[in-house]
Amino acid sequence: MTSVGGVAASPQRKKPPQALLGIFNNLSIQIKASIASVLLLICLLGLGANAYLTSTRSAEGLRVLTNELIPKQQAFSQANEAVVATHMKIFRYVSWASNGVSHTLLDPLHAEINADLDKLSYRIAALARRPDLSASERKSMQELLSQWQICKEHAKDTIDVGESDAAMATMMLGQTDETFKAVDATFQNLSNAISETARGLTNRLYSDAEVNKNLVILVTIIGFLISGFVAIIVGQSIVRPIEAVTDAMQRLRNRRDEIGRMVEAIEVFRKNIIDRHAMEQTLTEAIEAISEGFSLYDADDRIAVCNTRYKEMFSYGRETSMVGTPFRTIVANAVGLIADAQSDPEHWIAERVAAHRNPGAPHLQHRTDGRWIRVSERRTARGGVVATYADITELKHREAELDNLVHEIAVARDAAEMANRAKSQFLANMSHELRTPLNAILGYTELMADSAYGELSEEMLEVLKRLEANGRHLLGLINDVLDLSKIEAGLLVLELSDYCVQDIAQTVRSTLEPLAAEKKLAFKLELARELPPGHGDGRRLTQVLINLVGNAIKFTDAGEVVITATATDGSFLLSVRDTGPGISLDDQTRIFQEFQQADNAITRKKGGTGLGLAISKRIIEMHGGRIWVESQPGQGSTFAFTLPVTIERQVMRA
Amino acid sequence: MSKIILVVEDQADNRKIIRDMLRRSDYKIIEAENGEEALAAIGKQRPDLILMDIQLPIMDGYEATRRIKADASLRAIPIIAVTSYALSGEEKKAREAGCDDYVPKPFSPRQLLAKIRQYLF
Repeated sequence: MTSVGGVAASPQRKKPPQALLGIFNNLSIQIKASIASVLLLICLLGLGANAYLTSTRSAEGLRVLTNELIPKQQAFSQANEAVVATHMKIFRYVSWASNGVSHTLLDPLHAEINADLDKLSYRIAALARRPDLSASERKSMQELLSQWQICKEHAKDTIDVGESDAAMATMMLGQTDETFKAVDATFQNLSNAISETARGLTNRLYSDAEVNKNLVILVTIIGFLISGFVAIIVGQSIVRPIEAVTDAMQRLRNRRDEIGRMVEAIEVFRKNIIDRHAMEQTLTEAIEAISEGFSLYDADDRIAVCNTRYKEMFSYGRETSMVGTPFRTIVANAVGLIADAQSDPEHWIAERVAAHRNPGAPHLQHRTDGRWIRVSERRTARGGVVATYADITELKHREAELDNLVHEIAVARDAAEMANRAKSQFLANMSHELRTPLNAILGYTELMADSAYGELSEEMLEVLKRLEANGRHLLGLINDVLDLSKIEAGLLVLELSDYCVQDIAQTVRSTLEPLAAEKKLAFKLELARELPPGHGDGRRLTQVLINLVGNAIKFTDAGEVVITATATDGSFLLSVRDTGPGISLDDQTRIFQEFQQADNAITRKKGGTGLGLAISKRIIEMHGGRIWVESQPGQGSTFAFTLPVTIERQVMRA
Repeated sequence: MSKIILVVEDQADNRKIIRDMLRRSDYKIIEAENGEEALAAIGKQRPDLILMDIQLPIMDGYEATRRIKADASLRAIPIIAVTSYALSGEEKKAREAGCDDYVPKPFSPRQLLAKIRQYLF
């Protein structure tokens, strides 16, 4: 029990019991069980044989007892009783005779006694002839026969004498009694001897039963012990090795290395085997639940598994088993279902079978009933092919609808793009065509005002100034409309370069200060002492600031217009503050929208296109900044905007 | 000897305005209506400064400027672009083509004259 399997065959010498155990351990479990069974069988056979023998002997003893000894003893007893009864009759006869009883009574008794004596003689002789007598009994019976002869003679003599001489009879009776007593004694001896024999036999039966009982108990105990011992040995020779293997596996499983993982894998595998049936069931149900047709072909290209959907797609009945059907057969049967197969079925089948064995990308099958099936096939590791058949008819219809839609959209887009290109070209042309004559008008006007064509009267100078002012206004309108159109068409591109906020502010002041001065407004710059150099479209930012300051001067009748500029956290904050009439809350949101001032009575009075703020807003947003207004009616207005100090590229409109 | 200014401009009005503007100065003016004429005029008489319109027929101002600046003997002549493409990236394109300065249309004769005087002392 110290080792498992072959380790018992160690070369070391062992003591006999251990060596036996070692040999026993090496025997196969079947042989161990057979040995145990044989041992138990031997115990049972021994017990059975013993029970048979003892019960046979008991039966014989009982037979002897009941059939021989008891009747024999009864025969002796009854004979003895008859002898005693006759003896008593003789005693009565002698007693009657000596008391003078009449012959009428004595004679019958005399006859009766004689008859008894003859009967007894016969009976005793019969007893002596019994075949079942033992040697000693036979000898006793011979003795009894001779005693009986003497006794009978004495009895006959006594009663014969009693007829005539009572006194003599009484005297003879003493001798007769002696002979009777001898006979009785011999009978007693025989009876006792038989009783003794019977007792001996009974005792032997008892002791046999006792021995038998003890033997049964003993053999039962021995059998129990043997079977227990064998059960333990056999059990251990089975359980121990299993326990040892389990322990070893458990130890290995606790390891964190490859062996540990392997043992875990083995464990998983074992559990898998246990769960396999359930898994197969689950898998079958899952495959059945797939909305697509599913099939798995083995390496010989015969169906191993498929679901009902697959059967339906090939017009096989739900109950038909397709397992084992070759792919070629299925394809050949399906020819009528496939639109693509109609022109050349043989070619199609060959192509399909080849594609099935070497699956590529999913392909579409157009069915004769108008449906579209997408077939996806893949090779499995074992050389089979797994395939799914998805009905994508709906998808196909939607796709067609979508294609139409996309086409329509593309047409619309192309038209829009063409219109946009035409618009851009138109803008470019307009830009040039509108400005060219204006250029001439303004140029000649300026030259005349500068007396290039001779001296002018005051009145003429005044007219020329109005001409120039109106020309410039027209130029401003044209520029605004063109700017906004370009922004809308996405054609406005910022020209990024380094700029200086102070320079911009100065440019704005030098451009607009004459206007402010005309209205007697103070024009101030409040610029932070150290502003970083900016990077962006300086000319466009100047345009924004000119627009804001121009508006402020336009709408303010008294007080001041102030430009402020600060820089924090990489952003400029610029504002234009005025002491004008202020703007209502409603208008504050409206004024940054295009043409919002076009219908405004004030605008007509003050001039301007109403596009300035919309353009400014776009320019600031293209710089990644934000523009807003803070105002209350009667409290003046502040237009402010933030601006990243440096921008790398312009922000496109969403 | 008076300085020579080449005016490349297809619009007769603009040429006249420039001519009138410069009438009282002692600059000598030669005129061309497109890039090719300009190159031909330069071949005959080397100007001291060129006022170059950009939108021109036959050969535009960019191309004419590039050819002039590609010629080592002419490279030193300052070219001022005068164009109505005032809005998106025209100034940048003009400078890339080789123009030394840029005046947007519509120009003020007064300002253009001031710009010319920066180059011709």
